[in-house]
Amino acid sequence: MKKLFTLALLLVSLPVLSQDKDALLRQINQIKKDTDRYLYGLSTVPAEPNPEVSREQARKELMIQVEAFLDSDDFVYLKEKKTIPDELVESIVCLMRPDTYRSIVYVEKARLLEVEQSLAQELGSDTRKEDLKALVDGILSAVTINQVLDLISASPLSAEIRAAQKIDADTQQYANDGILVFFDARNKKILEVMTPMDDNYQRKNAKTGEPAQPMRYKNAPLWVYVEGLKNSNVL
Amino acid sequence: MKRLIITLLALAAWTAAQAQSVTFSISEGLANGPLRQKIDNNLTNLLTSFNDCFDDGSGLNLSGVFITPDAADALSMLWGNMPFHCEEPEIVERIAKTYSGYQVRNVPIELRADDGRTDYQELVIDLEPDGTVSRVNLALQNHLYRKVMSDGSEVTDLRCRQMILDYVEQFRTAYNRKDIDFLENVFSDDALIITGKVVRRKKGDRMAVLKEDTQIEYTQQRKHEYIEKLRTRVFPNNKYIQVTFTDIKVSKHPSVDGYYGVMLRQGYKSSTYSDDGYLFMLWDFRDEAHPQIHVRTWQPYWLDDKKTQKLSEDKVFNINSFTIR
Repeated sequence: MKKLFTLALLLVSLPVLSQDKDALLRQINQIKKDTDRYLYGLSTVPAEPNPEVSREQARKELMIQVEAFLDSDDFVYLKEKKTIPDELVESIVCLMRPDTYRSIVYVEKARLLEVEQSLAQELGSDTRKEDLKALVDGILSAVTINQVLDLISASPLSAEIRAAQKIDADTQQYANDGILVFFDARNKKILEVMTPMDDNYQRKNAKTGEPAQPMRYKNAPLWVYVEGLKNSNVL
Repeated sequence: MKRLIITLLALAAWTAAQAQSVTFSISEGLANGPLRQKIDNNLTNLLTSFNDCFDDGSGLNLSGVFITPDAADALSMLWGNMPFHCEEPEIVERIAKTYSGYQVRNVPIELRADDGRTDYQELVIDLEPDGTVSRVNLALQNHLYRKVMSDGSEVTDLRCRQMILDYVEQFRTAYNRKDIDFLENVFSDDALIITGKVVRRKKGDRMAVLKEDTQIEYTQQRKHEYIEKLRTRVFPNNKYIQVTFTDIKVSKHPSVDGYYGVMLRQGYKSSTYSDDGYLFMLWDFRDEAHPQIHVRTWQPYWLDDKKTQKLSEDKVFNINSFTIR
């Protein structure tokens, strides 16, 4: 009788013990259903005891969704950043089996819009536009590369401006979204100034508006990047 | 006391019964309407059928499910290898439009071998434009699927990438369901099958080696030899076979259109044997309705039993290892 009672109690308690997992799964499914409110990435990684692996994979999935979401006219400044603030991102990790974690990493769409509006206020202000215009006009008027470097140092935006000749994995995106200044290595005279790359990966001559061909120059250009320049309409 | 025990047992039985049904719903990818409702209902019925039959210990019964005969047969074969069920009462997933209809990925199941061992896997379910289930396969892990779909550098055509991944998943599941007919059809008649084996050199040992790498010995088989071995030895002698892929790389042939190289890290586990290695396949997609494998190679991942030495990646067969004439 005692054994039967113990067995019965065990059979009832097993579902109770899994309630934590069930509750987490319900939460995860709620997020997945609410596609008007959330963007999410999900990953279940079997035979991997480290929950961070599934969380990281889920985050990569989320960024694919975020990139697609930002690719609309509502987003200009956040799209240029290509990252989203960590504080917007939340996650739930659920232990499915002893060696299997499921993670959902998600962000609220409304929060992304708030960040975009905040960036637009900061980067789209009249003062900033004037500073960007002054910088661009100065570069277009410059005769030598040294004059360009002086302009950068003297600009009110100098603390934010990134400029270099080297392009590597870390700087590629800045070079893509920045102005290119091609110059003669010997006499330092400026040969051509090109606009940032557009969505079709094309550049134009910043003075004439004609399609530009970076590959025709042997020497590496100076690339000049400042946040918001690409979408500022000053070029 | 007796009444309490009976109540508890009844409650336990009721709780267990509740676990059988599964509700499926699409989160996004298809507008609300009759088709979306039909697919939700169809996949709910499919997953609940799995659970009902799993709990009964019976063969798979898919009555009430809109499914093509081929898909039903293939599912029965997979069931015969290792029955499976869906442990979760609610599945919510995106649906994607594909070249042949729709596709739902990441449906979680637990497979159970005869020896009681269980394994977590995910299903990928293909549907015809009217919502009929047309194919059910074991899915590649999502991050591997994304890796190929997002990487446009080698294979630029999205449709092509999707097709290659579909066939890789079908190929893998064919081993899991011991589908000799599928494997016989997917290998071209002139297919070359190369298998590598680590050999330990002894003093004075004279080995026949195909490559300069003296740690691996390669053997070649033609298609009929390989298929016959599967048909008469491997499949009958193993209660279950499980193939998993943990890495994938797809490359377009540099000069011949329609040919693709697929390199996978494969885990193979059966009732009698297991291994871990690189699987390379040269696929011919010139006839998209009937793609074929012309070359299949396997090389061990580890070169020693203690798993301290890996096969160098530059020694792994790839798309440039073979000439197409």
